[in-house]
Amino acid sequence: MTDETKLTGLGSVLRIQAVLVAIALVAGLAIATVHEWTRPMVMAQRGGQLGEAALSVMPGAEHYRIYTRDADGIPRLSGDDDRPELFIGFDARGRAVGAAIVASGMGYADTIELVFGLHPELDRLTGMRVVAARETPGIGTVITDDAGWVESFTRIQLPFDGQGQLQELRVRDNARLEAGEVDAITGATVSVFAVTRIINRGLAEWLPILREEFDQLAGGRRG
Amino acid sequence: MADTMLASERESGPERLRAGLWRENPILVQALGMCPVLAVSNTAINALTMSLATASVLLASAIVISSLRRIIPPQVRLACFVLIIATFVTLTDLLIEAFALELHRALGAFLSLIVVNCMILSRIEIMASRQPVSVAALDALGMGAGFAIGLVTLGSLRELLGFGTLFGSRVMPDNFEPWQVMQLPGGGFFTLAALVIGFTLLDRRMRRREVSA
Repeated sequence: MTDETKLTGLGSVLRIQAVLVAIALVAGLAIATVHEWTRPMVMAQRGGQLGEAALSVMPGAEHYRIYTRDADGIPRLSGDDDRPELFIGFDARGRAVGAAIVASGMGYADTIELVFGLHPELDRLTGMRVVAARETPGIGTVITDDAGWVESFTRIQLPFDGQGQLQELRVRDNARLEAGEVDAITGATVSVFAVTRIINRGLAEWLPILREEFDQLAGGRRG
Repeated sequence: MADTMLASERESGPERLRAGLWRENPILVQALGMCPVLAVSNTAINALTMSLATASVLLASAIVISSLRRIIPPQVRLACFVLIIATFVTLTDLLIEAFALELHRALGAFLSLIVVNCMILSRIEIMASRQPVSVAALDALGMGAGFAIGLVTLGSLRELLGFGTLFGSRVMPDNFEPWQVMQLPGGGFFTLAALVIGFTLLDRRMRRREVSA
C-alpha cells in the first residue's frame, strides 16, 4: 500500500466520522429544542387530565387537595412543580368523600399510569381510570375502552385476611368483585395483569399511610 | 450514485407523483409498511393521523437526504438515513403529543415505529439518495399521499363496520350490530385483502380499456 492510498483511507474514515457527527449534532439540537418547547404544553395537559381523572374515580367529589411525598415518604401538600401522588376529594359541603391514588408501572408496550379511587372507609375501590398508556391499539386498549370492565372497579372490595391485613387483588375469569378479584379479558392478559399489579403496588404503598393519616390529610393539616 | 445513473432511468417529478398515488401505491401494490396499516387502521381518525405523520416524515427526510446526497458517504448511508428519519419521527411524535394528546395515546408505540417503516426506507434508498430534491420531494409526496389514501380507506371501512361510525360520528342505523372482528387486527387483514382485490380488478379493467382505446 502506498502512502497516498493510506492517506485517502484515513481521510475517508475521518470524513465519514465528521459527517455522522455533524448529522447527529443537528438532529440532537433539533430534538432538544422541540422537546423544550412542547414539554410545558404536555405537562399542563397531563396535569389537567390527572385532576379530571381523580375526580371521576371519587364519586361525589367536587374538588380535591393534592399531596406528594417527601424523600422520607411523608405526605405533604403538593406544590406546582411536584408530581401529584394522592388526591383527597371533597364534596360541595367540604366533607372528605375519598382518596385517589396515582400509580404507574410497566404495561405491555410502555408505562401505564393510572388513578384509582378509595372509599373513605378504606375497604373498597371507587373507580379506576388509565391516564397514560401505549398498549397495543385494539388489544391492550381495552383497559381504557372496555366500559364494563373499567366500571367494575367501582365495585371491587379490598381483600383482607383475618387480621385485617391487606391481600393482593387477583385476576380471575368470572371475577367475584366482592372478594377482591379483577375480571380477566381474553387477549389482553398482559395489560389486565399490569393494571392489577399497579393497583396492588399503589395500595401497598398508600393504604398504611392512609389508615394512619386519612383524617389528618382530609383536615388539611400536614402529615 | 446519481451520476452513474443512465438518463433513461431518470423519471420526471410529476411522473413519480402519479406513480405513488396509483401504479405503485405503497399499500395496495407494493404492500410496504404493513405494520401500522394493520395495527392502527381501526378508526378513520387514527388512520388519518398515522398516514399524515408517516407522509410528513417521508417528505421531510426525502428533502433533507436528497440535499445531502453528495455529502453522505456511501459506506454509512444507511446509518445516516436512519438517523435523519429517526429525528423527524421524534419531532413528529413530540408535536402530536403536545397538540393532540388523545390521538397520541391511541397511536401508541406505532408512532415511534415509523422509524422502521420500510416504505420510508425504500423511498429514501431508491429515490431520495439518488435524485435531485425536486424529484425526491414529488416522489415522497406521491407515496405519502398514496399511503394516506390506502390507510384512510382501510380505516374508514373498519370504523364503519366495527363501530358503525365515521370520524367519530354515527352513520349506521341504530339497529346496526358492530362487527367486533373489524376492531381487531384480524379485521385489518380481511379489509386489506378485500381492498387489494377490488383495486387489482379496477386497475386491470382500466388497463384493458387503455389498450383497446
